[in-house]
Amino acid sequence: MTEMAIRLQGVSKSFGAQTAVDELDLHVPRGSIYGLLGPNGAGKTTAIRIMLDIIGPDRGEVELLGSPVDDAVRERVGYLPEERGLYQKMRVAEHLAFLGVLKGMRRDAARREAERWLERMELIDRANDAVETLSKGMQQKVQFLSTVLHRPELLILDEPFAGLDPLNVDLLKEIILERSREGATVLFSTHLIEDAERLCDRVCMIAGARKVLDGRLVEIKASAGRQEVALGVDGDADFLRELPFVVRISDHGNYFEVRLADGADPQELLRAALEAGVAVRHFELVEPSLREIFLDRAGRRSADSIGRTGGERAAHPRLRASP
Amino acid sequence: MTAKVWAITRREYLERVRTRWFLISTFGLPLVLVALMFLPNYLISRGGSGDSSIRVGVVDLGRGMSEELGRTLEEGWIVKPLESSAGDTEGDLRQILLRSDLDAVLLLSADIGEGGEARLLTRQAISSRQERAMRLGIRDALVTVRLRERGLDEVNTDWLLRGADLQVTRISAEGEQSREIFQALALVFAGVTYMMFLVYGQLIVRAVLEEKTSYVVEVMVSSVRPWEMMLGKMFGVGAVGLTQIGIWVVVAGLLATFGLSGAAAALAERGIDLSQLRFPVGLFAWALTYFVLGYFLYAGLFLAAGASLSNEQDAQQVVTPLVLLIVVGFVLVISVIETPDSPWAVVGSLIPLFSPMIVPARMAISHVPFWELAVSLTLLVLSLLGAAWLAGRIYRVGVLMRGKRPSLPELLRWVRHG
Repeated sequence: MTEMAIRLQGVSKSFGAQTAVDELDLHVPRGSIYGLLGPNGAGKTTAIRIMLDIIGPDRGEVELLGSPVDDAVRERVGYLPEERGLYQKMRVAEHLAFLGVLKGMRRDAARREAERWLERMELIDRANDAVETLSKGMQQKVQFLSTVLHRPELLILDEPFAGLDPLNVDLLKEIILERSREGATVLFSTHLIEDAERLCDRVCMIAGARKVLDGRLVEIKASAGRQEVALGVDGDADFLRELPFVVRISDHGNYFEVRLADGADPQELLRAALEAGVAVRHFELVEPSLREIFLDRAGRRSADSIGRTGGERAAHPRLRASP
Repeated sequence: MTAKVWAITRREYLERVRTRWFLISTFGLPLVLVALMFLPNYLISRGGSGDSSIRVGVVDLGRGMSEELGRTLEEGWIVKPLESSAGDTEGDLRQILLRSDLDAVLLLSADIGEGGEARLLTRQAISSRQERAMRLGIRDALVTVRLRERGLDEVNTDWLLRGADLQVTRISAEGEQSREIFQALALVFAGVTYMMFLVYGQLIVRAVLEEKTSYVVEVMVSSVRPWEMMLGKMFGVGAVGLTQIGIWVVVAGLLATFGLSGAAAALAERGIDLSQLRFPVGLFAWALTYFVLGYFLYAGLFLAAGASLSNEQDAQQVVTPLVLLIVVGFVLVISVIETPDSPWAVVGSLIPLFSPMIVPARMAISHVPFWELAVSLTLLVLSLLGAAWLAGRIYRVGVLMRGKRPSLPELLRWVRHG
């Protein structure tokens, strides 16, 4: 068993003149919750479709759970497509059981699991209704259920929270975390960075068909090279101006925002405050948000690429990720 | 067949059999077929008796036929002899008709029957039945007049013109066959096959389109292979068709058993002995074989058509040629039933697109040589495999495509890379 649940190596895909995915390397370790970030049309959906062998890449290698995608691997994966769709005339429980059988479950087991999950989702009284009679949000929940029904080792979710109310978003997150605790690997795409920041331990950012950032969330933040401390004190804060590793101070009276130099240890600041005899009421390390890092990187990257490949990429700054 | 293909087949089957559409078509289609076969004749005969009588004034310029005509014309016509001096041009007749309260005026020329003609002017359109009655009435009146001119007064013209029924029986290894029954059977085979291909072909197209427009297809493609989806669809929809045919056969069988035994005496009078009628098991087996093989051929073509499109309007355009092929096949069958051993019939039996309709019809009325059957079946199986292969390739690419209808070169590229 390899350690990677998903491995993409040098994967590229173009539709006509448009490059949807450009030389993408992606390594998703088993057991992680991995966020695939990027603006609309960045190539997330195409990358996901390539992972699942729904479309073939022009170049590059794809492995899921340690082997190329075949029937056996497909059964161990749960997939929520960006464009949701169920057979509208089918009954809910029957539909779930049907999708379960397609994932290699026995019909009766699939049926039992379907009912168990519908119970949990508070949809059990709609089990024998036609899908078309359900509201859009309910249909989304049913479709989400179909991806976890067969207890897959790998969950690939394309924009799982789009169009759901906050209550149901929390319910989905709860289930995702629960699956993760039981050992499943989860990859989900989103254009909402805050979703990823709260849920993921690793993220990959794509912009303009290319990867701009990849790694563990804490490391990304640490390597962002920016440290800020929010400091609240009773007394004189003049000592701050003496410290060599302080770059900038915003003074709000009793409250200061202090920017530290690259590589400085925030603990030094705390120690200096105690030595100066100042009572520290509030001390908080303010991490740069993922959003700021992303905007930083995506911006720098597109600036780079325009310099490198001339005007060609600039002519297609937003690459459509269809079909 | 894998468990997944089976699951898809089961879904396609159950979802269709449960619909109101299935009930309506199962009982509606035979009614339509029966109506198409019998309604025109029924309407004509009903319409005929509903006609009001036409009063016709007869201007007889020569042979003194008007009296005879009064006798030989069937009900529906009332004859009023007019003066022969009334006129003999069409203009004269028109004047007579417009000034009188008559419905029609008939002019019998002096040399009628020897090159001369009869002219009929009417105020209103007359039915073909009334026209036929007039034609026969004039013929019978002429016969009577001719006989009288040769001194044969008392001859019954009905008797004189009466022919005899012709009974045609073909002797074959399977025993005697009454031609009429088997001609009807040939027509039923072809009619059912024709209707089912049309209905189920379009059903398949709609099923594929529905999957695309409702976006189910992506979930499916992430779980099973395109060819598994395709086979499941073909089997499932085909099974619905076979269920429908099964119901028809059972109902027809029950009706025939009870209906025929009730009418046994009447049939025996007409020379049809029920005890000699045997159910032609072999024939039905061949018809079923050709139906199933033909279904798979057309299902493949319709499936490919459906997969290459993404909306109903485009579908109609692409499906139309396929529908025309099926119609051409049925038209061929009608001529084949008249001349089952003509070169046309033989050629049609070998063309896979037509053979599923033509061969069973021919087998019902004539003997199809073994070599023809062998070649016809081989070609049919080969082309259905070809169609399935083609459909599989188009399906694989097309099933995820949305938007514009692909051009022919694009389609060919799909087939190459699919």
